[in-house]
Amino acid sequence: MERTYSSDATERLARLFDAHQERLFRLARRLSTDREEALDLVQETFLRAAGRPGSVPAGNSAEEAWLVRTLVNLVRDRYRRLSVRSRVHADLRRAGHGASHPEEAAVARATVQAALARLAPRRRAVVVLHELEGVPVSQVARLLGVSEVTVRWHLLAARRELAKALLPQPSEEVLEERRQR
Amino acid sequence: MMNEEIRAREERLRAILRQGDPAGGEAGLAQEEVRRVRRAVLAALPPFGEPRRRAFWMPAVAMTAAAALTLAIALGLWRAHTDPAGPARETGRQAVRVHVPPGPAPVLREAPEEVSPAPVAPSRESALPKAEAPRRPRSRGAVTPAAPPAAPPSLESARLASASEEGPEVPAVEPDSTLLPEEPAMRQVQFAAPGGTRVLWMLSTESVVDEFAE
Repeated sequence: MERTYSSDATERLARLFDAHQERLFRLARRLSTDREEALDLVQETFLRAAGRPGSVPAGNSAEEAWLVRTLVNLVRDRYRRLSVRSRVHADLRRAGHGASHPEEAAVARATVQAALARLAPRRRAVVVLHELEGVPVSQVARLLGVSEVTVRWHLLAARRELAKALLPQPSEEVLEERRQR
Repeated sequence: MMNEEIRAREERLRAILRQGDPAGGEAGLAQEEVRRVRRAVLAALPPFGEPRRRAFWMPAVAMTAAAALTLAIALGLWRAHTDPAGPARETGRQAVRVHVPPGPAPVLREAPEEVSPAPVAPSRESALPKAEAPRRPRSRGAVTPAAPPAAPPSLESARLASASEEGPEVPAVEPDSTLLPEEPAMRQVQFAAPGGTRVLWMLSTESVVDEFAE
C-alpha cells in the first residue's frame, strides 16, 4: 500500500515537474533579479508540491495555476523578507551607470529589470504574464486566482509606473500644448 | 486622438519591455540543472504519504476554551460594574464579624432587661454588699468566667466605670473616680470593600453589646 502510494506520488510529481519546469523557470526569471534566484524559486515551488502532493489539484491547467500561484506567493514572501526596495534602488543605480555600456541590449535589459523590480510582486506577475508572455487577461486572472477587473487594474497601474521609469516624459511645451487642446 | 496616443504609448512600452525581457536572451535551464532540481524535488516527497495533521481538533478546543474564559471574565466585570453595592456590602459585613475583637466589646454593659437584673441589683442598698464579687459579662463566648482576673487593670476599671454610668440600676461597684475615663470607650473599624465602598463602624460601649447580643 505504502509502496503504491510512493510510486504513484513520485510518478505524478515527476510528470508535474517535466511538464511545467521550463515555463515556470521563465516566469521565475522574469519575476526575480537573477538566474540563481529564479532557479531557487522553481525548486522551492516544486518542493512545496512535493511536501503536500494532495494539495496540488488534478488537471493540467489547474496544476499550472497552482504552481504559478505558489511561485508568485514565494516571490511576494521574498519581496517582503529581503526588503527588496533597497535592492531595487541599487539596481536602478547600476542600470544608470550601465548606460555607457557598449552593448545596448544589456542596458535595456538592466533598465527593464530595474523598472519591473519596482513593482509589487503581484503587479509584476500580471505585467510579466500579460505583456511579456502574452497571456490573455482572463487566463492571467485564472492563474493568479483573482478577478479580471483586478488584473486590469493592476495592468493600468503598472503601465503608469513603468512609463514613468522607461518612457521619456513629455516636455513642458508638449504638456502645455495638450492642455490648450 | 487621445486614445491613439495612449495606444501608441502602450505599444512603445510593450516594445521596450520585450526588448529588455530578463528571460529574453537567456536559455532555459541546463540539463544538469534540471536533473539536479528534479532529484531534489523527488527526494523531498514524504515516503509514507502526506503527513496527516495530528490533533487537528486542538485549535477548535483552544478557541472554545479561550472564548469561555473571555465570557466568564466579561460576565464577572459586568456584574461588578452593574451591582457594586451588593457584594461590597456583603464583604463589609463579613469583615466586621471577623474583625471586631470579642474581648472588650461585651464587657462594657449589660442591659438590665435582657440580663434579668432582679437578683443582681434590685436596689442600690441591696446591691452594694454584693458588689464585692466582680461581675462577669454574659453575652460573648470569648469572654469566659476566667477572663476577669486575667484582664488588664485598665479594662477592669473601664468595666467598673461603665457599670457606674448605668445609674441607679447597676450600682454594684463603687467606682474609683481617678480611674474613670472622661467618655465611653469608642472604637473605629474601617473597611474598604473591593467595589470602592468604604464602611466605617463606630463601636461604642453603649451600642456594641446590644448589637452583638441579638
